[in-house]
Amino acid sequence: MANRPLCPSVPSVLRVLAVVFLAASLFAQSLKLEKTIPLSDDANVRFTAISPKGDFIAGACKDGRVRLWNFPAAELKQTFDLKDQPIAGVWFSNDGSLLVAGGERGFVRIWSMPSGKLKAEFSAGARISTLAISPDNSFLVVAPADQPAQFWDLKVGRMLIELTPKFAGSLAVAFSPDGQWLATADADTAIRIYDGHIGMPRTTNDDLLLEPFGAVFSADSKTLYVGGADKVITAIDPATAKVIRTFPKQTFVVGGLDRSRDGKTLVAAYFDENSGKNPAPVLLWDVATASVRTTILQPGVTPNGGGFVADGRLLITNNPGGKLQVWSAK
Amino acid sequence: MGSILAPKSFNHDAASHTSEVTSNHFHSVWLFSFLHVQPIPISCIVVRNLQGEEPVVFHFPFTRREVLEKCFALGTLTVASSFSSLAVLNAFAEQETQHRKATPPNEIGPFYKKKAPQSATLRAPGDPGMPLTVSGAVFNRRGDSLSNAVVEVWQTDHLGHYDLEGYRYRAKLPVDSGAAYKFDSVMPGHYPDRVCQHIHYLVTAPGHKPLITQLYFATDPVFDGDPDHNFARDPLIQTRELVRPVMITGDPKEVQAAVRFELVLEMQ
Repeated sequence: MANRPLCPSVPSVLRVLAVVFLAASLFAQSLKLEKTIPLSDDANVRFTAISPKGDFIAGACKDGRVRLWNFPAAELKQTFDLKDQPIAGVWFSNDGSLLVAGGERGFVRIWSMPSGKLKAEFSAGARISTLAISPDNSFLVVAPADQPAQFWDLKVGRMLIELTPKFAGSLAVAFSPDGQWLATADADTAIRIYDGHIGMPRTTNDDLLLEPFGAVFSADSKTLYVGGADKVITAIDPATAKVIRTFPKQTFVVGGLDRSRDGKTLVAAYFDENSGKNPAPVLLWDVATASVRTTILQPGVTPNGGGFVADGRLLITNNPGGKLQVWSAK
Repeated sequence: MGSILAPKSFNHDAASHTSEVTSNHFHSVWLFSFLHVQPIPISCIVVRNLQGEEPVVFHFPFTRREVLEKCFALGTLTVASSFSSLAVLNAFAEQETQHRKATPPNEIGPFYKKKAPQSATLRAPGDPGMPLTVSGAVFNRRGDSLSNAVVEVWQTDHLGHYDLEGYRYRAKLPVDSGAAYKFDSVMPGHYPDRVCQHIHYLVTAPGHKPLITQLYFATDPVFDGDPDHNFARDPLIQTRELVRPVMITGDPKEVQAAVRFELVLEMQ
């Protein structure tokens, strides 16, 4: 058994402070406060999703409601009451025409946008860990915690197949932009690639030792990027499941990944494995050079959602209490 | 049902152990319930109908389900349910073969790491923290010892930190011929994003569903000495069963903790 200390050379506190100091200086240059949305006492926002056009922000609130704000007007457009069922997350489809909420007790509800009309609902059986919608809105993959992900056909409202890892469930799921591939980043540490139209398994990468928490395809669908507890972003060829390259290892664990529309930038949200409450950065990576272009970190600010919007901005939200703040980065 | 409507036969082999069930159409369900006691060292079952018909002898190797199906076909077992008789018989047969309750699953949580070393010694000499020995055995629900099971455990150090770079406090534990496992470690600290001290388990055995669960400690200060009432203070603990008593041994200069945690897997 290897008995290596966690931090062999520099105490972790000093390392964190160094990152904070460096990042704080970059923060002011890279982020701009776009909007502050005042919240009522019961509207504490746990997670947000931002529509691809940047015209809506959906917030999963602690009171069991999904609130939808127009952006940048910041006007409350609609509230979806989920009858006090805790909400695990909210997601927009790639074209913004669907809004999906997943619950702690396994429900999934899908609304048409911008009408807000309920389109479908079903139960996946356990807390929704994550989900993804295919580019043409035909399929939905939902990952209940510690259970196989479910591949649903939204046209007929039926589950087609379960995507079964060796054990536990999937921690991240992603469709390729061309719809050809579906990837699951699984708790057994494997990356599994499926046919994006029928959910049949195609290839598997078993190289990772630690759990992956984020997955996103390149704009041309030829590369899958994954990242997780190994603190590395790994590029994988979905056709062969072979590792193409890895990005430099960072201090923190990769918690989530997204990509700019032009495919030139990856955004990675990190967290400290010793506590999610400790400060950790959001990094903008230059895909071509695999180098960090921008570090976003402000002590006391914990992002609770974000994504790239049509004009190229990265929007990031946080909920410091009593308000929802929306920041933008170029 | 054709295959189970076999001709009645009689075989009173003196060397065999015979279990006799006396039944009629109206009380058959209740009377049959004594067969829950398993395994019974018998070679055949005689079902005698009180209405005067000849007794029916079922010779092994009938499966338990086949016996039930035959009883149902002959009217000596009545199914009073809105579900199909086949479904109910299957459930009946399944239930009466289960002697142990499956260990409740618990979230895998971060940070599982595969390829952990095979070692029963997680605690290195001089490691701070209270020495802890965990032992138990792996069974299936029938009570069979699963001597081909593999138990994988991972936990924080005494300060609540996981090792992601190496394999400290991670191990893969083959069980012995009696399906027993044992490892030496330290009492895990409180991971800041969790409420309770815990050890993660991944248990696998051929032909059985993988079990992912967590072990908790009745001595955890979070429970205020009353885990029966306070176990739910950690929202991830859904059942009291996973909170195990802790035995303290040794002298005041060298206190050690010991915990026993049996693991029961579901068959696939």
